[in-house]
Amino acid sequence: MSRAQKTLALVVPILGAWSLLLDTQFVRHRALAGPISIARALWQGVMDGSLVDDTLATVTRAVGGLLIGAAAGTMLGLLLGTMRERTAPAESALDFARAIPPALMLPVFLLAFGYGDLTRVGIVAWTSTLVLSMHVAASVRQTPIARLRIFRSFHASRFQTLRLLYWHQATPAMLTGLRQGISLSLIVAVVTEMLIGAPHGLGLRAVSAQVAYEAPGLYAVILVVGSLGYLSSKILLGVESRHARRGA
Amino acid sequence: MTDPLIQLDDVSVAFDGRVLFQNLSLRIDIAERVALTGASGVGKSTLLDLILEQRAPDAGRIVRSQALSRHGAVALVPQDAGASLMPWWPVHANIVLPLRIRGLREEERARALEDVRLRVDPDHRIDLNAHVSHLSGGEQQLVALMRALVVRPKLLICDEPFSAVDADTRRHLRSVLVRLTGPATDASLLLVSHDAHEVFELATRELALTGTPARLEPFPPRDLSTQTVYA
Repeated sequence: MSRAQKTLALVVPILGAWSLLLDTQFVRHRALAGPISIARALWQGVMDGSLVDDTLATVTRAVGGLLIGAAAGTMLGLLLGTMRERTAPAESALDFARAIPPALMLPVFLLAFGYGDLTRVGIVAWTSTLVLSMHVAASVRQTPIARLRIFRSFHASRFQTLRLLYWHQATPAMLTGLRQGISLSLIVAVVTEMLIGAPHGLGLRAVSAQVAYEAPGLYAVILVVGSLGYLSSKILLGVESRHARRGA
Repeated sequence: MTDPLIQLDDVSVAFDGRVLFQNLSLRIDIAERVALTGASGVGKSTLLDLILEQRAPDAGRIVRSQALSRHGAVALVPQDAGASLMPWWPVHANIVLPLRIRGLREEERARALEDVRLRVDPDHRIDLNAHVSHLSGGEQQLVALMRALVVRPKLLICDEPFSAVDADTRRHLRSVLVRLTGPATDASLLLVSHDAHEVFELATRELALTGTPARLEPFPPRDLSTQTVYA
């Protein structure tokens, strides 16, 4: 039996039992929904375009914030990794910042940027910066001294060392940081939309479904967010493995 | 008497509160092959760092000849050659790295690559397109040597080049070092090794770094013509 067949053999009976219990309303509870009603909610959302609009809005915020955070985090990580003695106080501050839950920083961003996309994207960028900087700095610090010695012995400039050594040294860590960052970015984007609202977004859609006691709609959002996180993580894992094989 | 290529005069270095060198002097002449032996931790790497300008002495002076003023005039083959190669590049990109740092164009780099290959690896033992992590320890050592020689250095520093290679590669490395350094090329060689016997036939002069603070104990120079030259 192939792996796909094994998975189907497990999933189909579960879905069948789930549907039998909930779609037939044998079990009724406002927090539960059957797979057929969830599929129907998904289909309706796709057909009227609202689910697509909400998904695009959330993905744009998550990816936009991640890209800004990746750029800032990579630069910060390279700086911290290469100038360890001089940046030790900054590193302690970053360790402290990493211990703060992103949701707790939301009021600060609200005060600074108000209720708009600048806050929604800004909080995602903040979270991604912290993740990327940690990975990149750690990777740069692990540069074998033998490699660094070669660059120094040939009088490479700081920029050449950064471009030809540290950048390549940090690339696997950047990919790992991006993989972790994309999942985190989606979570933070959705939570931010739930907490401060937005014209469009999966977080807002989830809250609206909850307020209207629309459990199928709520599970449809959960399914979409979970799928987005899973797929993006898988894609980046593939990129990471490919890069590792190239360097091996 | 030949001209000095580099001269360390009364150099002192302290490291973590420990005096490593006190009034240490060393002179390496043009086209001279010097072997430096010494136990681990005696200060061989620090001495190399002084010559490579990666560290300044606490006292004393280092006089470099005009020949050492250009970039790449001193080239290093480090002890851990494999770790010193860039695993993200194929062999050819690793070899021409010093030329890239110097800002040479791609065509010039390709010419230099062909030239160094002809001098070091005429039998094409090493696939230039292979990834360095796929090479054996001996092949990695040869790549590191080609990377050092691609700049046609005036002073080649080899730190334990024979420590992790098979007998065949060892013979080949010795033959390359004999051919590409010394009077025929005007390039000098500073060969660092734990084992005095291993380098005895290569060097024109042998120095031992011993004691705390470390001092150099020279051996009498020998005539190059009496040496075994490896084919």
